[in-house]
Amino acid sequence: MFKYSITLLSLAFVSACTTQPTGNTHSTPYTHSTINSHPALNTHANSDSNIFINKLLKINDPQFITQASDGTSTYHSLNAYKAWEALYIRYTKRDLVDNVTDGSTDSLKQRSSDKELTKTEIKKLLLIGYIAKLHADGATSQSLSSDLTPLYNSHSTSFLQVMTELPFLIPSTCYFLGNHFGFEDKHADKKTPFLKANAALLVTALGAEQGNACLEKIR
Amino acid sequence: MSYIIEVQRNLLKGTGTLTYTFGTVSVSTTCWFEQANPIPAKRYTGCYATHMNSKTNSKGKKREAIYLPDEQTGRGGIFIHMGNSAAWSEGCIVIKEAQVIKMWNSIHPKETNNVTVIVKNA
Repeated sequence: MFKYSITLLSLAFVSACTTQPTGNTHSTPYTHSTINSHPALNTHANSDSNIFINKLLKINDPQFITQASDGTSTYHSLNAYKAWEALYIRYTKRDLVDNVTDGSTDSLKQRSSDKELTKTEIKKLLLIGYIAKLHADGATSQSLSSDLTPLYNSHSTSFLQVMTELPFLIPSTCYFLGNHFGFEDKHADKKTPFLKANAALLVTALGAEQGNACLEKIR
Repeated sequence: MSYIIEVQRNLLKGTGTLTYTFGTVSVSTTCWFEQANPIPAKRYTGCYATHMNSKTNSKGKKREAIYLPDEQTGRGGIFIHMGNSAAWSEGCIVIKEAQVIKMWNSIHPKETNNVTVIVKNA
């Protein structure tokens, strides 16, 4: 229960990062045009927040429920899962290209590394990891086991800042960082160099207790 | 049309046998799963042949898989998909890629809740 409270507070914070103005909200009176351009009306951000809350609290999103003429309702959990999966893809900056014009039916490619993740995107990505671990989400956990460590390697400073700011994200993040090594029978030999390069950094950034707990999960 | 996949697990070993028959297509193969946290042994109805959009197959395309509904597994994102050992699973059931493809190709239409997965423990 305590964990949920912490998560909901953090979720509200993350949501606020994307849906509220960053400056003094009372300095400019709202006009019709400013209301229309207000980030809180950004349906993309609101949609993301809904997906996070529904997944965290196991709420069946009404948009995936259909009702037959006899009144029976059906929940389309695959569609709900695909919405969650799309969120993951957005925050790992993976591009899905369907129906490309080269004749192939689909292709999947990793965006180039020049597309940096922002700190807010890292917060949301690590929140996805928290929820995936909390609910033992198989496919998301598998994707994070493949993707999170390379993303950490290219954004370690921002990752450590987020983990310091939101310590409830540390256990799940460290689990996925460690699970990368050997997952799908790959990268097992890279664990020792990773620990060598990051052990001191993690302890310094997270403090001795949290840092060493994180290292234990990675080992 | 309804398709039935059966999974007979040995919880002590973390392996089992997956069987599937439809028309001339027949699969009987070793499967692996996460021993520490397996999904409940039960009959899962309304499963789907679909793709995992954030994982790739050996050709770099979206991974073919069978989705088991979250509300029945009590978890999230549980699929039957390609893999060579339990190291490919965080709760999913994995079998060799060629066997997934064989089974997956025989299921029509895709993205439809026309598959039943029966999981039993030995």
